[in-house]
Parts: sequence; C-alpha cells; structure tokens
Amino acid sequence: MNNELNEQISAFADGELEADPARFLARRVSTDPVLAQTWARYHLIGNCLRGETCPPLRDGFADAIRMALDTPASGAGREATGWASRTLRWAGGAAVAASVAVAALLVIPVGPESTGGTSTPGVLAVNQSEVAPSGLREQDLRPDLSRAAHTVAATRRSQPLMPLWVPNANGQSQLIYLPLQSGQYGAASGKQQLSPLMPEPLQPIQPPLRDAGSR
Amino acid sequence: MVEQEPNVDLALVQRVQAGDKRAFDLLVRKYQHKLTSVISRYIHDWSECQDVAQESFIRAYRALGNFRGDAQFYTWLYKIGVNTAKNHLVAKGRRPPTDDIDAGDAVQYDGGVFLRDVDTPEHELARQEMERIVTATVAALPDELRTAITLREVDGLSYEEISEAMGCPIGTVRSRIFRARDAIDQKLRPLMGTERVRP
Repeated sequence: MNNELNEQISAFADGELEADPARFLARRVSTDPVLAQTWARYHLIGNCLRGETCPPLRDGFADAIRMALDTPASGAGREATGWASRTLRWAGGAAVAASVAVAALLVIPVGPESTGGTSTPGVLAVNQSEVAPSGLREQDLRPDLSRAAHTVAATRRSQPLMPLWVPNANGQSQLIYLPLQSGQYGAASGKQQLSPLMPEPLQPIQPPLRDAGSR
Repeated sequence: MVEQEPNVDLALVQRVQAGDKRAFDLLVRKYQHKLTSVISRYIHDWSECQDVAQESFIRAYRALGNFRGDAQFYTWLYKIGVNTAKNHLVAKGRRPPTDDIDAGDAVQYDGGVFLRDVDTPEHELARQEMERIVTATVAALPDELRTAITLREVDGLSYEEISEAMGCPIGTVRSRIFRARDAIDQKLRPLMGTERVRP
C-alpha cells in the first residue's frame, strides 16, 4: 500500500498522473507530513542527479513557512493588484485634497462680522488671552485685494473678494481670491451677509419647437 | 535538460489561489533546495540563506494572487528569491552583486557551483556526502532502473518518450523510475534528518 502510494507520488512529481488522481493525491500529500517529506526527497533526488546539490536544509524548514503562513495576516493574493492599488491611491489622494478644501472653507471667516471678534458659526474661535502681543495690526495682515481684482474678477470690481488658501497640484498651499456676492439669509437679520460667488445653474437647452402644422 | 512540469505547478498554484493553503506546502517542498541554492549565490552564510529563502516563499505566497501563469512558477519564484536576497543585502548595508542570472535560465541554474566556493567546510562536506550517496546508489542500480531515472531526471524525457526509447510500456517506465527513486531515497533519508515527522 505504502509502495503504491509512493509510486503515485513519484509519478505525480513527474507530472505523469491523471488530473483526478493528481488532485486527490495532492490533497493527501499536503495533509500528511510523511508523504510531504517523501515528495520533497523525490525532488531532491532529481536535484542531486542534475548536479544541483546543496547542503541539507535545517530541520523544519518547510514547517516554519507553513506556520508563518497560518498567521491571520497572511493570505494568498493579499497584496492588492496593480489597478486596485493605483485606484485606492488616487481615491485616497482625492479624499485628502477634498477634506483640506472643506476644512479651509470652514476655518476661513466668511462674513464681515467675524473680523469684529464675535463668534459666528463656521468661524474658528480664538481665545484673545492666548494671543501674544504684536505690533502688527489686523489691517496689515489683510491681503491686497486690488491685485486680485484685476485678474480674477475684473468684471466685478465693485464686489469684495474672499482670500482662501487651497492646496495646489504640488501639494503646497496657494492663496486665491473668491469674489463674494450678497447672500439671502443675511437679509432677514438686517445684515448684509456675503458668501462665495457661485456660478448660476445652467439652463437645459431646449430643442427648437417645430410647428407640426407646417409639415 | 529537464523540462519543468508546469501542469503540476499550475494546478497547485490554482489550488492555493482557490484558498487551499496546504497546496503551497507542496510547492515549498518541491523548490526549497533549488531556491536556497540560488539565494546562496548572493548570501554566503548558509543559515542566513535559509532565512531569506523562507522569507521569499512567504512573499511568494502573499503575491500568489497576482500570478497568472504567463511564466513558469519557478521562474516567477526565482525572481522573488533574487529580489529578496538583494533587499536583504541592502538592508544589511552590503552591496548586492551585479552579475545577475537571466530569469529565463533560472530553471537550469546550478546554484551549488557558487556555494562550493563560499560555504563553510561542514556544509560543503554534507553536500558532498549527499552527492556521493546519490551517485553511488545510482551506479549500483540495475541497468533498466538507472537508464529510466537518468532519462527522466537528467534528460527530462516524458514517460511516453522513455517507453519508446526503452521499448517497454509506460506502466513499466513508471514502476522503474519509482523503484530507482525509492532505492536512492532509502540511502538518502538518514542523511536528511527527516525521520522525525512533524505534525
């Protein structure tokens, strides 16, 4: 029986076993340590006959690999495939960029009352007692809006601009200016609320009406 | 030279990809000596060689999902082994050799040639002893067994080709090759220290 099994292993090692018996034997050899060692020695004999000898491997060489693979972190094909990893990398980059832009919109004051020190929703509150005294005035830190007005909103000179730090393609912060327009909800409170200018929604193009009676 | 058995390897790889982790053990046991020999070309300490070979097998297992069977499994494994060895040398602050073997020649590569020059005398003695036993056992085999195993392992003929060359049925070829292997195995087993069976 043992010889018969070993003869099958010998044929299997040579790739000369039929598909079904080979599948059955592979399952059996892979679960039986004695048969697995026989399988390994038959291949070693081939190596020796071809002059591909090497010193004996340490005891339990293959067992150590099997045990390492039995840990939960191991898994065949766990490394993401090329397209999947690229997609994930791009999606991650886009998510980071979007979150930075949202954070910038939330942190930078939008309304004119925020410069007066009052805390408004969406404006970062700063404890005045923690701010170190400085000779700089608040006006000195304001960006030069006139320069931007020539380039960004030349057609809307009368409108104020909102400075905004956004990440550029190189991942560095870049100062841009968004033109502001009058908001709707601020009018109810009697204050002029400004919000970033948003493009007007596009109107769907209507196909020209054909007069059925002209045909 | 010896033709590989891509069907056996591919079948085992597909089983691993289907979730049968045990099938990978057969690939490890099939190529463990060959891959460690290749790595010994880069790393001269035999113990370190075996560590890197084990790491290479683990990396291969984890990357097996990407293996499509376009190349032979051993060629693919060989590349992983060489890259792992080079990374190991770089991590240790050593410079990897630049005279690479082409991956296409990996199947026929005799890694032992390099080992003979660099390994310790104990390991070299063990290797020589193994070679001596195999050679002596094959020389002592009956002619039909010696011819069958030589045509298979050295010349790489299929069973059908051997049956034509020897003028006997394929079943006889299969039996002769097994008997030759078994005879060599009986002599080799004590040297391998594989009598102790691990669960």
